[in-house]
Amino acid sequence: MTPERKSGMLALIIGILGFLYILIFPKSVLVVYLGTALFTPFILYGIGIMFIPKTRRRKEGLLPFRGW
Amino acid sequence: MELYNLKYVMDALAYSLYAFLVGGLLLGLHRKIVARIQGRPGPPILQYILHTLKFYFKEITFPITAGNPLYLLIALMSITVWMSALYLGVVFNTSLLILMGLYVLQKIVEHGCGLSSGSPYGKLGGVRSVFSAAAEVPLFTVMGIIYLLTKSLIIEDIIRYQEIHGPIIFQLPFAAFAFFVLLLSKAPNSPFAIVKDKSIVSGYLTEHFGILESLIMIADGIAWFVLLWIFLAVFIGPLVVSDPLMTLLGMVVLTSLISLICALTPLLTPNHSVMIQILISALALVDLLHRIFMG
Repeated sequence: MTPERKSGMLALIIGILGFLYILIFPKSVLVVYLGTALFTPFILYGIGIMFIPKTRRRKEGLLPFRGW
Repeated sequence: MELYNLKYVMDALAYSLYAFLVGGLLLGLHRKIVARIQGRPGPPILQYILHTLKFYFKEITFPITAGNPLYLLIALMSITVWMSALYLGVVFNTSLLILMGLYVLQKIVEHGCGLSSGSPYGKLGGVRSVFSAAAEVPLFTVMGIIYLLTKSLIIEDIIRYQEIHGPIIFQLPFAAFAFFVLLLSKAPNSPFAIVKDKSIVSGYLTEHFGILESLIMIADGIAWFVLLWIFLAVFIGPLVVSDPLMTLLGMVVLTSLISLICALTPLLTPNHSVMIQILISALALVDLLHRIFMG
């Protein structure tokens, strides 16, 4: 797994756990809103990383061949 | 297990989506107006939102020089900062001081973005973002002037004050001007936009591409909405912000005015940009001291 995809998976797990917490526990509306502000970027990044296309690189860190 | 807070989370996400769409369209309008004034057709108004979507699905790799996890987390922090500003300012009408603190956090985002990338262009952009903190000095004095007049820094109280006494912009024109310069310094292609100067490629954003750039663009869209809303709420008041359509109209007018200035002025050098902003803050300070000592 590439470091990018690994970071995406981790972000998705943090985001989902965070959302579960703010959906169930907080009594204050302000905490719910600020929790949403905190965990939405993790979800956005986690989902986005799942959508990125398969790499054209043969090996990690190498640029794809673009002609002479 | 009951999800008591589901409604609030949905509301919060809906507010953010609305702010991003409106902010994104206004930034698109900004580019269109600048282009038309310069005699170019310019991109469609939707371009900012289309770019955000396009970058969201682009492949990324972490640059070999990038300092992770800061390189990644700083893009996420950018959205957190402006979503928090949206909720605390626009939704809950809390204190201007908290918004000021969040605006300072934005400087940390710019600085962190530049320095974590490892690119010399990014680093220059990050360093310039520290210079451009001079734009926040007038904000301190503006808050002092507003406090002297309204005896509160809570946005709700300031709006209520204007219900009785009329828009503050007529009583504190210089404070409104100083705040307007802050808005101008945040606009793309503005004379004060030294952090994204093309001579340093894309400034602090140079090495943040693909989905990370998309996330920062989402944050910038929300930031534009929030900053325009604060200006309208603090200086014009319920006349505009009590009606969503009037708020939109006010934002379009402000964006058009800023676009006009951006199209007609060259980018200042960093030292000139800082000098002008310090000059404005000095004048705002004189205004504040005059109000303190002369009543």
